[in-house]
Amino acid sequence: MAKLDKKAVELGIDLRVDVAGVSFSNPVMTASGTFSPQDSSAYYDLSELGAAVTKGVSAEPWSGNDLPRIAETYGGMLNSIGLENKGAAAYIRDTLPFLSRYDTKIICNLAGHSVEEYVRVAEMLRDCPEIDLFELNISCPNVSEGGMLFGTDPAMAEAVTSAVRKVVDRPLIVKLTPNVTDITVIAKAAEHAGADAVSLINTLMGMRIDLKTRSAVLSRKTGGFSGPAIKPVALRMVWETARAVQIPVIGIGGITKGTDVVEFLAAGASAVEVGTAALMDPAAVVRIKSELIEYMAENGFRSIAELKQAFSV
Amino acid sequence: MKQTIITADVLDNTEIAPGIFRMGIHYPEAADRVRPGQFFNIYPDADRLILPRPFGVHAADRREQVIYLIYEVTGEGTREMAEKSKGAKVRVSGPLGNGFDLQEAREGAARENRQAPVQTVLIGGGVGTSVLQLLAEELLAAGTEVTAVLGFRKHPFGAEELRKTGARVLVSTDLPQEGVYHGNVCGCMEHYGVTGDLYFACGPRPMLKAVDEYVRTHGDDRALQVSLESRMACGYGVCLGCSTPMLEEQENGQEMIVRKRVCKDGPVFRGDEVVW
Ligand SMILES: Cc1cc2nc3c(=O)[nH]c(=O)nc-3n(C[C@H](O)[C@H](O)[C@H](O)COP(=O)(O)OP(=O)(O)OC[C@H]3O[C@@H](n4cnc5c(N)ncnc54)[C@H](O)[C@@H]3O)c2cc1C
Ligand SMILES: Cc1cc2nc3c(=O)[nH]c(=O)nc-3n(C[C@H](O)[C@H](O)[C@H](O)COP(=O)(O)O)c2cc1C
Ligand code: FES
Repeated sequence: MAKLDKKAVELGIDLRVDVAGVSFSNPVMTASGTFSPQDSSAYYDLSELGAAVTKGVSAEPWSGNDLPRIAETYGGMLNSIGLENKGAAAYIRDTLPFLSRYDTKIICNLAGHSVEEYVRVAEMLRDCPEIDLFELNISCPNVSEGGMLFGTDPAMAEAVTSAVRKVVDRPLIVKLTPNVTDITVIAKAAEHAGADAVSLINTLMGMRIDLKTRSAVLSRKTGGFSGPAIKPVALRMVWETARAVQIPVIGIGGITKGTDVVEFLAAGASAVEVGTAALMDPAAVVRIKSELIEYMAENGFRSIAELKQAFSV
Repeated sequence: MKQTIITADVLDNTEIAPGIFRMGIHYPEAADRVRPGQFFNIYPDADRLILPRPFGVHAADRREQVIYLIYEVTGEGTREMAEKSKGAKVRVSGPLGNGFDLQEAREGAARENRQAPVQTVLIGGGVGTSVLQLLAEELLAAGTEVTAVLGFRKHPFGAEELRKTGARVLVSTDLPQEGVYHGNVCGCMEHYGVTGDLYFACGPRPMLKAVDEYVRTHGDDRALQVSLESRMACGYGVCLGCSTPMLEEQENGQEMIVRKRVCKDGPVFRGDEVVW
């Protein structure tokens, strides 16, 4: 039994959601790359989370891109981290034991350059009992091979999803990129290949140029655009995708407050992930959850299903 | 207790040199425990500015529970800060990061059979001189002798405040100024023959690199600690936006390049760790 929110229980509100056969205490999760178990736990109790979605992990350690990796934009930001991570062995040794002390679900986000690499990292992690679900990142714009390439071609999306599907018995979420003409085509390909859910959106490709240095701000020139500025795009894509597939959709993109979560749920999301907001405020995820509860109390919604039913979009 | 962002009172916000401000913030939870070299995140008010701005701690008034920052107006976030008057609110979180390691200085100064006092040399450039104030206070309190070498482009600031601690203070400027050394901090140190047992530096990267060379020619850059800057997004270790290549000695004695987070593993590193 996942830990229930005390305030919600007092108000008679049931925040639980089911996604891909897993029951979550509430629909608010972290987004990969904007959360670190040790460092985030200095700001809030991780048991408050619907799920802890961890940083992309690859079979071997990756060192990521050169600095600068960060640029601020109007109401948003660009990043070109390049999936720096210490690899699956360190993840098993350090991350999982730490996270398993908390009463929350663990979603392990997987990264790779090729189908073989995705399969290899999945094989290394599939037997870890702590992991509740996998999230396959086929949408990172910051690596030159693999990453987003798999998320922009339906045949490749299908190939990598079914290859990983064969390896893991835990529910599999496929994380989609918005940098495509029609995201529903890729979502359907993932569904067809056996995905249990899709999550979207990853970052949009963006750029900034520094007038003083007369060059791109990011050393990699382009980067992934995230934060409050991208919310309308994310919401539109979640709405389109939720109507196109049968599997659950997890909404991501620009969520900074409780009413943003309401919008994503109304657009068809079953749960949400909060990314950049956690850089703007370390405890954002917990604040957003309590704002959601306040909204539900004010509007007389006793469950997430009731809230969703009240909207017609 | 969990860390958090607080909305604090601005008690003072004075322009101390052209475009350079000192801000005093009432922050009881931090004033007691902040150590030299640590930094604070200031969260902008404007919705379009989403990322916190990091600033090294300048001084702490432990009795009045005030922390002081010195900042240069260089963009939108610092402009917003400069517009705050006394009594305004500011969103702030900290202290963050690891400060300077003062253990060696303390142990050295406390050693009974010492022939001469431990000499510490503090080097700062531009707004990087800000963090030397609290550092000098603590090194003097530990019983070491402190020489501070400050470098500015044109307008010096903070030298008098530093002198009041009892430190010996040398000032240099790039553009000629009455009564101060004309040139950079390393030239100034050569000129006055400044050497020490331990070195601490904060400033622009090219200055830090030159200081590292200076320390190596006069000894070993393991005696040097530098405070690095990096573009940050979170400032508390989760995003890897600041993750910088560093040399690390492995168990087999070999050096390897590993990435470390300036915000969480730093911002202070030893001179011989930095990939210059
Ligand atoms: C550990 C640390 C300590 C610092 N201490 C001080 C200090 O004591 N006094 C001081 O004046 N400045 C200090 N800086 C630099 C200071 O953070 C920047 O000058 C400030 O963020 C600029 O914000 P802005 O909105 O005015 O500039 P803008 O250029 O509008 O900022 C845009 C973005 O770039 C980032 N940015 C811009 N310049 C820098 C920089 N030099 N370093 C890191 N990020 C930058 C901003 O944080 C913001 O995210 C420190 C930086 C670091 C990393
Ligand atoms: C600094 C940073 C690092 C990220 N790293 C990853 C990652 O490792 N794997 C991944 O699938 N998505 C990663 N993302 C994308 C986010 O999880 C999220 O999909 C995206 O930022 C949009 O949501 P937001 O607007 O709430 O941030 C990263 C985003 C940021 C800002
Ligand atoms: S700024 Fe985010 S990890 Fe250092």
